[in-house]
Amino acid sequence: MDIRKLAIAIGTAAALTCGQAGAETLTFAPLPMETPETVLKQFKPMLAHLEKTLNITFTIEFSSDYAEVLKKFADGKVDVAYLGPLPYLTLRDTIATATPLVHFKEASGSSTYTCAIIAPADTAPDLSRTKGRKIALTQPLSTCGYLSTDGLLRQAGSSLEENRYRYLDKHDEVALAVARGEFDMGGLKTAIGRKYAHMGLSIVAESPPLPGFALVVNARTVAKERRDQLRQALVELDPAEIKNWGDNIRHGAVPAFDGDYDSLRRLRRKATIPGTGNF
Amino acid sequence: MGRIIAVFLVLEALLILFLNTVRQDKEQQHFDQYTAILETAYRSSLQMYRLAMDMSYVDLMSKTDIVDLIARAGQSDDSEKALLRGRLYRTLFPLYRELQQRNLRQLHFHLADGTSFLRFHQPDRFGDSLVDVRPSIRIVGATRQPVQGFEAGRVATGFRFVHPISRNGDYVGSVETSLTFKAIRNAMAELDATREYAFVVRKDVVQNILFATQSNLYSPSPLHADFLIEDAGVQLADSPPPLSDVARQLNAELTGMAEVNRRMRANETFTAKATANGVIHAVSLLSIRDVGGRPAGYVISYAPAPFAELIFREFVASLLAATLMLAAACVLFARLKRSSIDLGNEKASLKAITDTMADGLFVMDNQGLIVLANPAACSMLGYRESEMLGRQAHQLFHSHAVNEHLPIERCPVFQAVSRGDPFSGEEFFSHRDGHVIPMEVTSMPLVRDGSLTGSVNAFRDITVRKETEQALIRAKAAAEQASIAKSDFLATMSHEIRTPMNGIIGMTSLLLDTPLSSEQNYYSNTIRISAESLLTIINDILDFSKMEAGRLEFEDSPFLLAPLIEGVVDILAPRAKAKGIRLTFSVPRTSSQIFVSDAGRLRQVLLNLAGNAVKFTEHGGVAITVDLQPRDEQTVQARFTVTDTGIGIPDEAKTKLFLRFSQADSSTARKFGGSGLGLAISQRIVEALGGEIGFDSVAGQGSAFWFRLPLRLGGTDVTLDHHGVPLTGLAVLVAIADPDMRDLVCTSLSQWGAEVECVTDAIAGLTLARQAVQQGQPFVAALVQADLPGMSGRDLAAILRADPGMGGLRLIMLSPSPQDFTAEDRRRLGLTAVLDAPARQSQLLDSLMPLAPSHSERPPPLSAAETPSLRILVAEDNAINQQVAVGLLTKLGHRADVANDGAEAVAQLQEGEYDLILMDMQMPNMDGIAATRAIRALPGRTGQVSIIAMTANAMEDDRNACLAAGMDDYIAKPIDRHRLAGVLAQWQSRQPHTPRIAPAVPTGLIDEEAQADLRDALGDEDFDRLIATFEASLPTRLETIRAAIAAGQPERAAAEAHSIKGSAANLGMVHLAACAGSVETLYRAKDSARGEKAVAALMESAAATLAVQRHPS
Repeated sequence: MDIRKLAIAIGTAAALTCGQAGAETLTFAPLPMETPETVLKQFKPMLAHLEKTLNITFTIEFSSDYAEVLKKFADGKVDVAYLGPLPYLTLRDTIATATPLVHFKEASGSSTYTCAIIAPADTAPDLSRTKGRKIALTQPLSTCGYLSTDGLLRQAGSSLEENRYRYLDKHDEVALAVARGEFDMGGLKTAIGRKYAHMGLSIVAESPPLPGFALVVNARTVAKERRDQLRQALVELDPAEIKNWGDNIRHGAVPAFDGDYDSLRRLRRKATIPGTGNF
Repeated sequence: MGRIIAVFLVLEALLILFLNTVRQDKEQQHFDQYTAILETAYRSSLQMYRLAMDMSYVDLMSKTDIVDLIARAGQSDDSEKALLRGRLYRTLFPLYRELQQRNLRQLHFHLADGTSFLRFHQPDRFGDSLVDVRPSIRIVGATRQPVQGFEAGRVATGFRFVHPISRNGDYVGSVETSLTFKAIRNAMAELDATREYAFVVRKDVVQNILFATQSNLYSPSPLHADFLIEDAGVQLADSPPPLSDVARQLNAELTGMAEVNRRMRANETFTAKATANGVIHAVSLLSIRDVGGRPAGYVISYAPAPFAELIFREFVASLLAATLMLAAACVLFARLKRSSIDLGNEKASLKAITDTMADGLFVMDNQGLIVLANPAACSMLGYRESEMLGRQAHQLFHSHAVNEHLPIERCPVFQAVSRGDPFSGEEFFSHRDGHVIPMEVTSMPLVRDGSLTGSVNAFRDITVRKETEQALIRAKAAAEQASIAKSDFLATMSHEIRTPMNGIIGMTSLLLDTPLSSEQNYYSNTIRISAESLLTIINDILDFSKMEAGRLEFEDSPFLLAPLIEGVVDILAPRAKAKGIRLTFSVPRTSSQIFVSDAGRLRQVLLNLAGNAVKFTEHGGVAITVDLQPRDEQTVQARFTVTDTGIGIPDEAKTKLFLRFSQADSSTARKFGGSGLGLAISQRIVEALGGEIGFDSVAGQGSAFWFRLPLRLGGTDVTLDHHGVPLTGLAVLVAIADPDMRDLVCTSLSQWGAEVECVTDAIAGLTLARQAVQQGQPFVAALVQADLPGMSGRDLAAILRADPGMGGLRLIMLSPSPQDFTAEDRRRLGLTAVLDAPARQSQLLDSLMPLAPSHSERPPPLSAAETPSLRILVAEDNAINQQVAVGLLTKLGHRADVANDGAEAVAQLQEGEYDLILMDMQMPNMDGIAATRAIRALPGRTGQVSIIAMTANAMEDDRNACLAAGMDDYIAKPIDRHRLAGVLAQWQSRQPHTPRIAPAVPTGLIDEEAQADLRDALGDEDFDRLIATFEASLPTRLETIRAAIAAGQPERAAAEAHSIKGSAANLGMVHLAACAGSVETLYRAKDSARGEKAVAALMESAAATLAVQRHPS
């Protein structure tokens, strides 16, 4: 079945069942490239909760990449987006009305996360002398992709450009690729790197805390009152109620502010992110 | 009928049940094959992979570093384990990729303690204990033997192949690969591509084991709530493709089946029938057990089952056929039942009929034993039914004294029916008490299926009928006797009455011929009229009696209509004239053809009707009209009408007019007389001739009596013997100025065959006549109208008469006043006849007929004046009648002798020579018949004498008897003078012997008186010239005669002699005329011998006459 058609159908059904004449309808954009089933599984409970709590209706707008999400946001077609920090910064660069609502907590309970460089535990590479190595990255707009990896290498006295890097999209795939020996190192979210510690992978560098995924709302299309309502509703979640939500959002949420992204801004200032790998 | 329908429905239900059971069995057997095929395919596929797995395992186990790694991992800490894990992952990842390409879902290493060491397919999961949830691992750990089978896992389900890993005999762990259902499916699909495959896993098998995050991989199976489908959305690459629409439709149908539900719940392996897009499919569900032997799920195949469709169609067809046969059987049964009921009803009806019928009825078998007898049979024969059944019918009542105890072998009834023939006849049956009864018996053989089984016999008592028959026979005999007596009476009466009447009328007629005073004349006339009236009445009575006795006969004869009517008019004209009333008649032109009917009876009817009209009319007149309408080719419808201006008939009398003995009223009878039978007789006659009679009448104004009947046209072969012979060849000159009269006369003459020349004036007539003479074809007769314009008819006649060349021409004058021509005129002009104008056809014919050449074979009947005197013998026993006959004969110029009876007549005949005998029929001693026979037996010419019967019996039988006896003709009594003369003339001229030459030649040569008259008429000069002309032509004419005789042309000689005779007679040369007449007669009779003598006499007479003429004394 065509993803878009299903999305439209679901969205329409949701609008019909939930929306009444006069009820506000907000358009939600999940992570691009996720299957609708995954998206639904992740976010449906949350959206349902918000609809019920605030008497509003959500429609879901799927996109194939971040660029599309950002464009739709800019065009006013998206009211609320689930974004990683770098995509948020990119969005904020063009749309000043992009307003973070909440940060979703990690499994650890923290609302921040770090990026790391991993390598097989038994290799223990010297990052300062890391040159010409094969490094696996997630994706260009991933915070823990080029941005953080290059930053960590620079901090160690190297850089990604001195090595060979390739985008593998997913964090897990980065870890497994390194575990398989296909890459010497990989840049990914520290949590995931740690998740694969049992595969003989170790963290060789870690970034400072970075803001986590957030629900970003379009202040142009969503009234302040509504924004506050949304924030409130998400922050005051009952843990028991949300334990069956998606993995990324079932640990609770904290209010988010633009200032949370300053460290990342600093990191970004220094790097221009290539869109493709160099091998 | 209701019961039959109920039986039909029940049987139909049983039939459906039976056939459906058979269908289901067949289906089941068929579908079992699908199950078997699926199972085989599944096991084969598994086996194939097992072998491959075994090889891979062997290959893996050959890598000692791997085995060592696993062994070390089991004893390492977490950090070393991590390294070892990483290394293992790194080393075997290519192998894992390869396995994946071969649809092997998982590569999973376990440690000896049953914990998960490394899941290649989900590396983030590790360290969990599998012993409890993975029986295969537990079993391998326990048995150190490979285990394979289905097993649910924490991540996904699969078909597991778990092999133990041992190092130096020590179990250090196990490795497993998992086959996805897609791999199984693909392998099965290779075996049978027509099928679609699916896999469902029991919910309870999966739910407790799966990682929570994996739970979204499973969705409920639409087939059954207890089952799940793995990765229906095909998220995983190694998941089979989603189900097709057909499979989904089939699933939807199966979901609703309680049987499927039940069987799945019971984890049975089976095949169910479902339909998708109108096609029957076999959905086979193969129950899979996990390695622990627990039901784990189903491998499902969806395959079209065309044969199931056939089974279904076969079921439908069988059902239809069986239903039709059942329906037919029920219909037949219903009909049979109805027939049986009808048969029963019919039997009951038949029994009712046979029981109530008045005739006796019994049925017997082939041996003649009675098998059925109806109450009437029992009653008639005096037996009870039980006494008859089983007994032989013939022996019981058909063998008795009357038929001399006829044995059954000769019984006509039994013989007939034994042959298979019906019998009908009269037999005698004996009653129980012994008396015998005549019976009318009818028997019919009974045949069943072509074989004789017996007979049905009906009989009725005909005693009464027999008696009636006898009575009828006796009555008939009595009636015949009475009829004979009546006929005899009629004959006797007829004779007894007519005989004295003959005397009365005859004598009265003779009396009236004598000089009588006026008073005597009056009295005699009255007697005559009364006698004639009485005779009419007697004839009517006798006629009527004949009609009553059915003895009225008719005889057809040819006749002409006009003469018939004219005859009637002639009879009634004197009466009409005496009363001063007109009597007219008209017949259509077309009436001149010959008709055939009983002219006498027609005349009788006309005479009756016209006679009545004349009788009852005092003023005005009576008209007789005839109208003819064609009816068909052979008949015309003739309508005769007699109209009068008489007293008419009052209404109250009209209805009884045609009744016998009735007249309009008694006063009419007294005034007008009559027997009252005339109309009744006329009606009988007309109706017997196939016609009808009626009348219209207004009292005081008159009546119109009519009758119409069919008249048959005479064919070309019919000729009229007595009343008008065609004038074939007769050359006639007609000089008539009146166009209508001329037309009528010329047409009639032409129709009668005459060669007619018609002229309108005397000069033309004279010219034609002279031309004809010059051409040698002189006219034989000339019809001249007296009052011709210019030269009158008289003058023409005188000139013609004076012309010697036309001496043979017969002149007939037509005058409205014939009485203007005196006897002297007639003699002087030599007129053969003077007829009334307009001429009656009968008169024309009578005048011309004798002149026709067709009469040349026999001498023309001589008129009464020319009849020679005959010697006639009258055989009559009655003295008065003797006197009458003799008197009449003498009046007619004959000589008559009498004989008192037949014997005397015979004797007298032998003694004398007689020309003719008038024989009375009834005479004593020897009657007329016997005398005739005796005479005819006489030899020579004596026996051939003409015998005329005088009979009072006008019945045909009597007339036939006369003729059969040898008489030549008959005349009815009372004898009428004219009829007598006619008969005598007829028979005299037919005499076989030589006709006498009569009269005798006169002694004088010249009739001076005649010559003197002629001289007066013509004048001396013309007279002398006429004489001179005759004298000059005579030698030539005589020479012509001689030459004709020499040339053997007697007709020519006779014609010339005839011419001479005429001329000589006109000129008064009587002797010469007589001699010429003799020559003519003899040569017409072809009597050459005597003719020669006559010619010699003629020559002498010619010479003598001429001598006297020149020198009169």
